[in-house]
Amino acid sequence: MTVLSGEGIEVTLPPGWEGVIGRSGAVADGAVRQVVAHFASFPLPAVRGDFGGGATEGMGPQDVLVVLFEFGPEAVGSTLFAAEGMPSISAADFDRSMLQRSIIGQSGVQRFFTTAGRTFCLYVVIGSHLDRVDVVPTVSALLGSLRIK
Amino acid sequence: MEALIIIEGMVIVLLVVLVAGLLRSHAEILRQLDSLGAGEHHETFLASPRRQSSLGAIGARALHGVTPLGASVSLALADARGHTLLAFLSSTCASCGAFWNGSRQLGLEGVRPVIVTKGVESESPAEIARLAGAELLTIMSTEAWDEFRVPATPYFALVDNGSGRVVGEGSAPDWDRVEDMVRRAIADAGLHRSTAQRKADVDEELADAGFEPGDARLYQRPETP
Repeated sequence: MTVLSGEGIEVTLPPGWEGVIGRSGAVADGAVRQVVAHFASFPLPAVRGDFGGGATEGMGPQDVLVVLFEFGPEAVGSTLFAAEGMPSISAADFDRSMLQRSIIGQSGVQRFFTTAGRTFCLYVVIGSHLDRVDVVPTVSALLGSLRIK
Repeated sequence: MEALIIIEGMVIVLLVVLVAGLLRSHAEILRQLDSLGAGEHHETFLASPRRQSSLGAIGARALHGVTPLGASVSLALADARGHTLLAFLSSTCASCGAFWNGSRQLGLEGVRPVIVTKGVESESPAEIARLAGAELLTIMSTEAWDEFRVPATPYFALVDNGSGRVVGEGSAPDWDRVEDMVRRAIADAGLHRSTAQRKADVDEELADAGFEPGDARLYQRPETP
């Protein structure tokens, strides 16, 4: 198990997983760079979109990508982020139509929430919708280990 | 006239001392290059693993550090798939010029190149960001340099992400040569698996296919059409 922390986020990565916690690089001059975290059960490529573009294309059936994207303080208190605390995910939550970029076989789940006065979108992609039951326990363990300050 | 001869003699002595110093310095450079596997020894260096122990034995199952843009990173070096090629580079190393700027992608399936520099206490993140570009993962980690006992730059370590073992390491003058050596190191690692490793692989493949040890089907004659 590896503990990774940055930007007020701490997570315990399962064996073989890797992660990057930083700020979005694709912003216009003067814009606030949003906090983005990527946790993956497969080798992350150097160039990735905030929501995993560039990474999801190479996922195998048992692969998982977990994205945490922070929205600005202006989102605090809005209806979209009304849910408090880290969401839990079940196999039934995964939906093939929930993907930022549709790839055959994959499915995803998206949740918006507020914790520690910060607003986030949690986005999880799995390599095979058919194998979702197998990977959910690992995803739940990872989400359960997340600490946000 | 006598003074001129004395001065000339002193100049000759000085020149002899200077030449002797240069020769000694040159010999020292050649000796160090030879110990790093440079020059004519490039081709055979990476293919022979120096370290046989697993990474776990030296305390690293993952590579930790920060990117030049300040992101915290942890990359898996064990219990994962494929290979990771760690390229230890320095902003002050003249020989590293051929490896910067991500201008070259390795044409090897399943091998992820990662540039590793020393940490922010030794390198300028802005300079590393300028040199490295965005095409290759770049991690600043003095801890990794210590873990892999990097003797000089440029230096490369090829890690088998499945076993967490270093299967090749050494130096090379350009990406083409690195690619050749990586290909050879992977082939060598495959050929030099122990009997126990090969047996374990076969057991795993059989288990994946639903055959447990002692399965009666293993002892039946294959059906002939």
